[in-house]
Amino acid sequence: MSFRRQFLKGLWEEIPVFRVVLGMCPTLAVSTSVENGIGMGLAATFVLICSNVAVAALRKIIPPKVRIPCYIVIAATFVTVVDLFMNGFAHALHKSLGIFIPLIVVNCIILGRAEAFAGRNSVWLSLADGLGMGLGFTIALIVVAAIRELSGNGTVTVWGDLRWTLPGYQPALIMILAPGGFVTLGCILGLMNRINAALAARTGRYAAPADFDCRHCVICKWGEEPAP
Amino acid sequence: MLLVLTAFSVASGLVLAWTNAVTRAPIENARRAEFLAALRSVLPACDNDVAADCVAVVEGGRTWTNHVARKGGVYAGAAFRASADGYGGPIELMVGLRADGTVNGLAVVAADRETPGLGSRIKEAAFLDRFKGRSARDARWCAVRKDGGEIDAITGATISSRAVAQAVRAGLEAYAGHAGEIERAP
Repeated sequence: MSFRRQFLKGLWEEIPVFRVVLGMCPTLAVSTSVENGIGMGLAATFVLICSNVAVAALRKIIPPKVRIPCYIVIAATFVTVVDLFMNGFAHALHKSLGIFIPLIVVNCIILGRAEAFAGRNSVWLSLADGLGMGLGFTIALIVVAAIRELSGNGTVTVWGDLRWTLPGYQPALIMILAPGGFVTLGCILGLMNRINAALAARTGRYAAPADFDCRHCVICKWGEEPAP
Repeated sequence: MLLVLTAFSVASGLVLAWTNAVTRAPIENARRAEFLAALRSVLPACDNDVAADCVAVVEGGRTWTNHVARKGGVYAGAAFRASADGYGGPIELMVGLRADGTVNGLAVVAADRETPGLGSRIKEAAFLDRFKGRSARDARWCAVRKDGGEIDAITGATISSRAVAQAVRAGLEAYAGHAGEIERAP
């Protein structure tokens, strides 16, 4: 298990929002502008790296019975640090992200990686995992936000005044409201499943769809394992 | 088990205490800079310290802090904070007046929970300019047309537009009731 492999898996194979389907709440809530997506993604990445490293470093002394409270304390500490620093040094962004920064604490990705990876791997590999997962989350947020902002507001705001407007376009407002978030995310998840199925078909391997649960569905061809 | 949890909490507390100490000044500065920028953007040209030069008046059960602008020692205008509940949350405004008692400018200090693309358009100059140049002495014009005023609401964002108009109107009425005090303050 190399550093490179652990890093890259977060960008495609196990990209948090599109493949593992974790972190839905912040994705739907803040993806109304690319700027928000970048800010939220980087803040979550920072927390994820710090909490992964801290959990991995302390994994030998954390008693298994109280590991979840310990993980939460670690995550909450780093989130508060980010919250205060962002308030001081990126005030406008802090205002537009609002409640979602404190809510990084309960972002499933943070606890999920601590439990699934950092709690049983070395500091070095956990760093790679945190970095990859964090960047994957950021990329996912940017993709969703770019689609929603462009179609719903006719603009792409990268950072502050660095903004590009689509001339002569009448925005479809619903895309920037809550339903647009679900529609966008649903379409992307469907697309990801299709791409992965196509890739799997080429290599001859079976690929589970993004929600990993096809037991109840008989409609599509992914529901069953291909015959060997 | 107990020991580890206690140790974690103590360590977390220490880290947070340090962060708080480091960030307190920058947060304070950022808030102040934001406040000053809003004040400057709504007040006419002046040369005094507008943040410190204020007159507080009580009207309608709340205290209005009027920041007075002076040029060469002569009263040039005043600005105050106004707020109302918008569609998604509170809307905070800064309202600036000229010496002749007309509205010089409006700035939205906070309206982060308004619907993007609809309510959030109250931040646009096209809407805020509808208040410019109107009189503070008689604020009956200051309501959206649906409420019998003269302000055109933003299409699809009547609630946000109404909140802005109501906030401004309450402030203007407070000003009108105490205009003499504010203008003649030393």
